Amino acid sequence: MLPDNAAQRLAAVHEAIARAAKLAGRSADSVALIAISKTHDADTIQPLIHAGQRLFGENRVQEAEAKWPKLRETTSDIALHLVGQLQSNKAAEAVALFDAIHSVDRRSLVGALARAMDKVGKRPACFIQVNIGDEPQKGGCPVAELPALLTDARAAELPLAGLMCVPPADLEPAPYFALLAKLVRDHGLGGLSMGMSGDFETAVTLGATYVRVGTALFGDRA
Amino acid sequence: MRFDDGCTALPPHGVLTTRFDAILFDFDGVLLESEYAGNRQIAEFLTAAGHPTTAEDSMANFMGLAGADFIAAIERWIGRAVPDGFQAAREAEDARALAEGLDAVAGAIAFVASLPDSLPRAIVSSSRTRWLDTHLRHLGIRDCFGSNLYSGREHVERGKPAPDIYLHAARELGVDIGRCVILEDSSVGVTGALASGAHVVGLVAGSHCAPDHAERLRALGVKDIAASFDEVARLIA
Repeated sequence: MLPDNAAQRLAAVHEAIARAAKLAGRSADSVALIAISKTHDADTIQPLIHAGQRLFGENRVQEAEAKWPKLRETTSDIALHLVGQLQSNKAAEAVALFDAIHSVDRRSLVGALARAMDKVGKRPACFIQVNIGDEPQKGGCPVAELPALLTDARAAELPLAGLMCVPPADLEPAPYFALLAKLVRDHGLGGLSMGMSGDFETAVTLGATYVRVGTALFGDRA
Repeated sequence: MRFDDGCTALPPHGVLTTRFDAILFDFDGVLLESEYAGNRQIAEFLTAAGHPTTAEDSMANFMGLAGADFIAAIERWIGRAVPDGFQAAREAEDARALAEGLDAVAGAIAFVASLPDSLPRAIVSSSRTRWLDTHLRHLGIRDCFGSNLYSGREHVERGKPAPDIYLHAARELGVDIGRCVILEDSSVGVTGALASGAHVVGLVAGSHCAPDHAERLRALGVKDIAASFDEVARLIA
């Protein structure tokens, strides 16, 4: 069972991250916790902000636009990351609202983001979402096409921060996290966005620099 | 508690004998043939949205889950938020099924009709009571369950695979959970049913059950597997 109170849940997740980091001989400070606040309203998010959380993740541009500008009025140092799929026609809105985008997965989006960044005059960090298990149904850039997409992203001068993945649902995630970490090293990137409520500790032991945690912080979504 | 207010429109009943003091039925896939149709619809929607998925994939990954757990399982499967319009499409399909009705699992209606009037029984489902109530009416066995329709979404905080809904139903029936038998078909369901402490029969009679389904349920710890309601009757005698 989750603790009732936001501060306790946040502390429990931080402790779990610290334990996993220690196991891997890493500093817990090298792992950033993204609180996935999709489907939660401002009243549910506020206690977590009070408890000190400043980095949040959302799935949809429209949902984030509806609730975050007001929350940011009272807490100015909030960082917002987009972790859900981005449609090219929403690129400008996403660039304006978010500090990082974890779901760059195709060439057309690279172009749209580059144009949006020039227009808006802001350059959020970008992660390429990789379909790390090469699953036919899964979103993300196929592993084999990653080098070409990275070349495009660099040519378009996107600020590349790293790679993101969601491993296969029914398999042990560790090998997939390890593969993503290898791809990050091979391609000279730094950021590793991997691990969610069920597997973030494993992800931390394998090098995650961003973990995306929703349920363990908010409880089940309504 | 007696259940002889209802069931009168049904064929001869009261013929089944059982060593248990109460029987708890999962609904979708145990009494109602809803799983295959529902999972095919999920698969078609995801496929059309660019995430090739078969009805079998859907059953293997999402069946038996509800609410936030169901959405989280889909998001994990496709690596993204559920596509826009998914909830609306699900609701439209549910509305169609509610209006038109769905088939019973083979042998289910006769089995329910054969329960002795004095045997407490309940539905323990992840679906909402409106779904249970309406489909039981379509099937003509609504009265056999009285007020004992329990939803993992409405009556307890933690749905399946937590054991809470089974424990809740046993309490409401006034029967010790250890004296109950539960009929379940999904991996998620049998996980919770086994954890409740009841005796569990894994039913693989629905058309959604792949050839290896019995093995999956056995691997979770189910000892009694029934391929038909006749086998259920023998196993619980």
